[in-house]
Amino acid sequence: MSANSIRINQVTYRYPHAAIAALDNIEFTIPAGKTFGLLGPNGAGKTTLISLLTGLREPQYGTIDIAGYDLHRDAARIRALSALVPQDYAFYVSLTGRENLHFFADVYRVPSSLKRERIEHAVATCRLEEVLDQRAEHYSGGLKRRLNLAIGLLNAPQILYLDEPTVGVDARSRQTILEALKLLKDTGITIVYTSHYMEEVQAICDYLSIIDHGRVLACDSMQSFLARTAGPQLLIQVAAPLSQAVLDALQRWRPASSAPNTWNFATSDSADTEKILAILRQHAMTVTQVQYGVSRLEQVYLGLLETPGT
Amino acid sequence: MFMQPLRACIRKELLLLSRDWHGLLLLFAMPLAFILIMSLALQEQFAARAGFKLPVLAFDRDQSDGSHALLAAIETSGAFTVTTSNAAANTDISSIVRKGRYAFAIEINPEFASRLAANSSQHEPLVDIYVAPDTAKQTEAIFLALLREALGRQWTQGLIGTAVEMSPEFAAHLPSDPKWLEHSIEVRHAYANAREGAIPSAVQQSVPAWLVFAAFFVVVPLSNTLIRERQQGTLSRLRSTNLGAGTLLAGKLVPYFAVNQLQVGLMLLAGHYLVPLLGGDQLQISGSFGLLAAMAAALSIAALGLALLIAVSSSTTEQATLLGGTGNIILAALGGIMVPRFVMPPAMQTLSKLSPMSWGLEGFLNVLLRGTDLNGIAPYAGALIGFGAAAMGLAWWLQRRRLA
Repeated sequence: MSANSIRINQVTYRYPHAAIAALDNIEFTIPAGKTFGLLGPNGAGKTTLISLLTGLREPQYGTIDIAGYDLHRDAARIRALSALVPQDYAFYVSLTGRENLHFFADVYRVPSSLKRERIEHAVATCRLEEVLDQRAEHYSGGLKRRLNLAIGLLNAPQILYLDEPTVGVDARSRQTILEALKLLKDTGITIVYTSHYMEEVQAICDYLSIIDHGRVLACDSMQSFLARTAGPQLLIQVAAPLSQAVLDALQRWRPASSAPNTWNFATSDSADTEKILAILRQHAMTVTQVQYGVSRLEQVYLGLLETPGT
Repeated sequence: MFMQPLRACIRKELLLLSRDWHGLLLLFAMPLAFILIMSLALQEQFAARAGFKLPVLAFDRDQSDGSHALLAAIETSGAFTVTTSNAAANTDISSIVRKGRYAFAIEINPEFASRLAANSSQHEPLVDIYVAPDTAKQTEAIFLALLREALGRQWTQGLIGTAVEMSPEFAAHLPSDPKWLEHSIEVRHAYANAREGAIPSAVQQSVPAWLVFAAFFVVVPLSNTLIRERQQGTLSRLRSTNLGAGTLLAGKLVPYFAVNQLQVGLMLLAGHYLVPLLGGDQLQISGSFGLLAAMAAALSIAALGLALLIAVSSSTTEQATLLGGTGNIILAALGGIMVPRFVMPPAMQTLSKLSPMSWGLEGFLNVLLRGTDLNGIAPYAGALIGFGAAAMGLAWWLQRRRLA
């Protein structure tokens, strides 16, 4: 097994008194140095898997090997080279950003000689310089997310677990966090990432596992996932419902409605977009929104969740 | 190596507490206010126990040697101080007494001495007594007994004088020391430090009582920080590092243990220096400082154990605050903090021994008032440590179950 890769072997975890297992015999490998996305609806088992990977819980069955160490036997070694950025604002809001960073640096046992440098690096990566001496309770949601991430960088982890790191943040903070993650990717660390935002996952993840009801529905590289769709997707929103005559005219692009007056079309190239828009103009339809080539992952994801037997 | 995270945890906890105004008020201002208020409010009650003189207003309508002797007997009893009024005979004495300045008024009627000597009350009282509405029944009984004794003595002395005049040989049978009966009683105060004036005062009851109460209130800020860490995911983050459970726990307990010691020190200093400045009595710290420190440590272990148990048993900070606050008030009421145990009926006194606050209070009173040695605090300190250890053990077990 290569350094910093994670191997999950037939892992099962059931919460006390729960009727069904939160994770049921799951098995896959997270390659070293890659960004690995965990996707799944609420309650699918993503956070449970993160808590198993970080040693907060122990599986009843199966084993987890991280960077060549067995998690059960070598938990301390594994913890020393990994960090968790939880879904919640896992820091002290009465303390300033600086006080929080100093506290967690000491908890991570960062040597004094490196502490200042590590804190400065985390602050610069997450762009917290201006608010560092303010109490975290006065931070916006986006700044809190950035501080949450900065704390996770203090021990210079080789494996970083990010549990929905951009949930509920403004566009600017999301961009800052995603840029920080892209920088981290370039350093070669392994990132395990859960999110509900498909475009984020598609943008930063190299590999992906889709989980539902505690089982792995699919696990593959992002490229392979995207190849599962026939071609680029076109999303068009119109001002009024499409008549049957219009739908007949558009039939070759397999129109599918995802919301009222919102239609997805399977297109093979950008020329198809012009043809579809021309047909709509011919029928005096007002187009209010056009998106091309986006949300492909979302379609694969929804397709997998809706496919019986997966 | 574990010292770096431990120091960080302790520093962080103290920083959090220093920014928690509600917690600081609860831990320091509230007990201090209780000490000041209760020490000053109960000063007279305790002073009465310690020899404070009740005021008596006297109307001497006889102005004889006998009436003067009666008033002197009241004054020299040590329990009452007499103020003589020259108000006219038709004065409404009841209305004066109702105003509450005097516990009693005594009106010595005209011809008091001559009628006493003649053994004739003529069915008219020799003296009239007026009792203030807030005078206790026991005090009234004591005052009346004193009057009867003084009247009886005057009457007896008159009889003896008459007997000596009739038969000089009778004088030979009289004792040479007319006060021999008074010397036949020896009084010993039950306090170890019963040096002159060393009688327990309100402040000596209030300070140990409210410092015990205050120490147990660490339950609120401590359980709240633990629950917030659990709710906000900080605990998960800390557990995902190599911070051991022992370091995590010590990082919580050490600062709050120090806070408890600070509370004890400040409350004792307040009783010694602050209460006298406000007109109250001064707290006499006459016991061993080592024993005080031992009691303070034992008290803190019990309080911290209870705090951990409440933190683990509660899902929200609101639950913990309610459980901790209400629980503390019940333990205090039961344990003789709010109502001294000596005024409780016997059944309640027995029940009060179940409260850890009662163990703390008795231990501190033993040191502060009774000048006890290690044996005198060992049962109380031992019970507190045992309670704290049991509560911590139970909290540990519950937490492991929760995390399973």
